[in-house]
Amino acid sequence: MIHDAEYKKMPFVEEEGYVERLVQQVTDRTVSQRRKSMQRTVLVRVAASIAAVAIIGGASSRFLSCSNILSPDSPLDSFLAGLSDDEASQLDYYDIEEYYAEEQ
Amino acid sequence: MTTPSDDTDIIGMLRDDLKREDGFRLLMQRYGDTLYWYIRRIVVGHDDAEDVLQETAMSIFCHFGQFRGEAPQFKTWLYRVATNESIQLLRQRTRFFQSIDSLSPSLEETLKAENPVDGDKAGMLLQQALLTLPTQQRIAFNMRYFDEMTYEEIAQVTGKNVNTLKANYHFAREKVDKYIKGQIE
Repeated sequence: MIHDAEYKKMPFVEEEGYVERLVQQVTDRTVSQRRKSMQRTVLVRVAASIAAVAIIGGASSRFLSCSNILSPDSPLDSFLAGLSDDEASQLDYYDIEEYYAEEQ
Repeated sequence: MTTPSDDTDIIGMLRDDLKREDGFRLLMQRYGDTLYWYIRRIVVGHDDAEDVLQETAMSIFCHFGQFRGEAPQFKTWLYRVATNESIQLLRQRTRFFQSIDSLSPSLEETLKAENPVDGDKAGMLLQQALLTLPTQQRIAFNMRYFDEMTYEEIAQVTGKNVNTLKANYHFAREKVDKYIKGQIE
């Protein structure tokens, strides 16, 4: 058995230094792709966290806006609060049947 | 061949988040050339060998966490990754339900096309003879003959039984000898 570096290469022919350069290129490309992949992973995680916060925030703000309808500061409450006692009592007496009777 | 402590250092660096890149660079410095020629003998084509070396490097770097062994198993693990990537490329070259062994004629064409007529004739004849072997047998033969690995190491790479490998190697040698004699006569 022949024991030298050339023996391993036979019969394939490559330029002097080709394999060294190839190995260097492959190494650099792998490290760079790995870095990009790690950065992508970090970005995806950040984006996922932001999305999660937005979803949870959106849900809670929807909850808040629903409760706003019932809050004392809603437009209906403000309108009612602005009425005088007389105006309020007129609303109490308002009857749809009377309204139709008057129309007829 | 490296001493166990060299591989131990590389493994230690690869397992350390802060030293992983340096460990990978050391690994490629030490094994890149060997892996290239190992892959080249399986896939034969120049461009294919480049592609498979790249895939092998990516697999080694990205899936190193799956390696649970220590220095004595390190080299065989690298060979296993390179073997799997090489076989995957050969599978991509086949059509539906075709075995990778059926690729031998096209690999022989590539071998002739990429190597000069006045090149290493003995080496060429040996490679042609090896291409008559089933792919798995050819890979095992390459590891034993060119990479001078022990049957135990080849068994770790291929997952085959040591005695089966010995018998296969014996039959492969006989077949290769017969082919070469037939070509010379």
